[in-house]
Amino acid sequence: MARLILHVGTHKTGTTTIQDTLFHNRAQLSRRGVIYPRIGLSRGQHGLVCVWNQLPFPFAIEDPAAAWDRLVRRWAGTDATVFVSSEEFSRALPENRRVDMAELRARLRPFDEVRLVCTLRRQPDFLQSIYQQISRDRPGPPLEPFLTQARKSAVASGLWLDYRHLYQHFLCGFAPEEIVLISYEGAKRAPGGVLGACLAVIDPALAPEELEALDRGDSNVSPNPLAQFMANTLAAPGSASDWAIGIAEDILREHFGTDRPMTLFTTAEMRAFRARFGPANRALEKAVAPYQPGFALERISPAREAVSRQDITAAVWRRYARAIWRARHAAVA
Amino acid sequence: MARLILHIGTHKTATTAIQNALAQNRAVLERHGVIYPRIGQEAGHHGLVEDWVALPLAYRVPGGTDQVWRWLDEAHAKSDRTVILSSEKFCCGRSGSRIGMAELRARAARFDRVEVVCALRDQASLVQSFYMETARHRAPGPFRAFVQTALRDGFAGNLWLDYNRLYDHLLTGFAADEIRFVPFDAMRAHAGGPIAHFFDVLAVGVAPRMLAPPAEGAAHVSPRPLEFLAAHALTAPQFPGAPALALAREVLGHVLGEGARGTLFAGDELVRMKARFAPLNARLAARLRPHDPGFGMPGWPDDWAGLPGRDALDQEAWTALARAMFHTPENASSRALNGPQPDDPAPAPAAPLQG
Repeated sequence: MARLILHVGTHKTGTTTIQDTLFHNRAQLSRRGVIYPRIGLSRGQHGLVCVWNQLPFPFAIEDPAAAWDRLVRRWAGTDATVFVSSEEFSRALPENRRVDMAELRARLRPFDEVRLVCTLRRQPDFLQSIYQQISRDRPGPPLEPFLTQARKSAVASGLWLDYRHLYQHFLCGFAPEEIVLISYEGAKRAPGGVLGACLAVIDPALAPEELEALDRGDSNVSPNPLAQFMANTLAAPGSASDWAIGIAEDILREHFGTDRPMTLFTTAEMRAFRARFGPANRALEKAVAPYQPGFALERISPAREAVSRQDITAAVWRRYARAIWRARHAAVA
Repeated sequence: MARLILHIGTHKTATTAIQNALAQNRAVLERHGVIYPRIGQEAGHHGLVEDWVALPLAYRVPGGTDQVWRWLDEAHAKSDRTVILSSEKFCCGRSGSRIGMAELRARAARFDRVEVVCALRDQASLVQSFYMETARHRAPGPFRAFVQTALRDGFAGNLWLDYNRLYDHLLTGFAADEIRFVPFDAMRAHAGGPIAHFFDVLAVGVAPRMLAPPAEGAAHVSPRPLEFLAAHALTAPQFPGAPALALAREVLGHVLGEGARGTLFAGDELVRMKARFAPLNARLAARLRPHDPGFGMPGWPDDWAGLPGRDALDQEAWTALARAMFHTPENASSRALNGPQPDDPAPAPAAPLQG
């Protein structure tokens, strides 16, 4: 039976780690009948998205439609399980470059079984991670307008935050029984992690420890979000520097200790997220329940012990200014 | 008539500037019968307190103080000259730093007239100024603790803040009519500045215009308090140099307003200082009036109540300082350190988000 599993992200749910690990273990997987195809230069299959959304180098490929045809011709009609992964399949905007789910599903018709797998992350953490990713690629956006817009539009950086809309988008092409949603936080707590949850869809007998791990288990780890925020504030309107982020991390550790989790969002902002997305998440769980009983998204609530922006007082900024001074003058000396 | 004038400070009343001016103008002064002897390596005569207080090597008088006093007696005690000795260390009050006033008076016994001259400033400005001066030599600790000590113990460092106690101590050696207090705000308000005022008060027959202007850096001029506090927070334990002070001045000029004055005091500290020391100042003024009817204690800086205090160095101020440092294009390494900036050429289109 030819199977195709389409892993569509979302972004910031460990997709790079999954792609890197599967790419690294292609030979071994192939021996087990799992095909992780090489498409273009990247370790994910981002090039296949280019039928609908022309991605930049190094993700673009010359003829994505032909690449799909080759993939389908080669593996549909075999007993292989093909795993295709790109978080760009789940992008919401720009709307005219959104993947046409019906057309996508039609391309996959020759396969005997198709599954669409999507990991969903609690919205505040997802948004925080998006903020940090943006900050890596270009000057960090002013935070409060970014948050306000995200809550209002339920989209951030072209990605859905109201997962009902994302699910509806999937249903434009895929049957509900073909869709597998994974709670990111729930998967992280499980022994195999998010990778394990994806492997379970491929083959329940396939465990992460059977694959050769990369040197770094998490391929795209972000810095402390509050350190990123402080460094962004420092650098605006330019981009934060790694050294400034590093200093901020040191200051935060010294000031608050190493045990407390850190989040961008104030208690009030977390409550606003809960009010905005909590009901939507419950509605999604209810819609998915007949096909995935027990699926639940992580609840949104302020973490009492977490350090947030509201705790970055004048004393912390004073320490940061002092550390910057010392670093700059040591560098000049 | 041989006069001996003992200028005993206090600290932070332009004593260093006065000592430097006296030292710089020795020849001019001598031509007018005023002797400012060279004792030790410093412009001030700090080594003379060696009889009572252990001193660092740099301050000690080679050969000891006995020979200095002997020379002063032999050379000047039976002359028509005026000898000026100056050290703010004479007015220290803490046990271990206190001078034996009776012994000091005895040292000067052969002079026909002995006068003690001491400038006093309001305790709030003294504490603030002394705190900044302390930071030149060691970590001063938080200013609020400095104020707490002042209120609780009546001391700033070794300095009495209850000037009645200083007066009492001087009276253990000197007669009341030998002691003259000068309000520091009068010194500062004088048209020629504190040095000119000092010479007017001494009435030694030397007009300030006869003196060479002070050399560059002749005095420890205190920076503006909030600029100091901000800059010191960056550079401590070192005393902030010109670059740090300039940065603080520029940034605080934007945050607080160009040229805005400030004070290190916060909350009700100034109120508490006034409540503690103003009555004591009034008591001293009443005690001095029989000998100096025109004397008035230095005025209390009531206008400071409207100035930004150290709590004006809030999150906005520290963020602004940090940002100013980040964006300072002081050297080529700044760009290498700081990464892409808004005036750099536009980057390539962003790759899809990863992860």
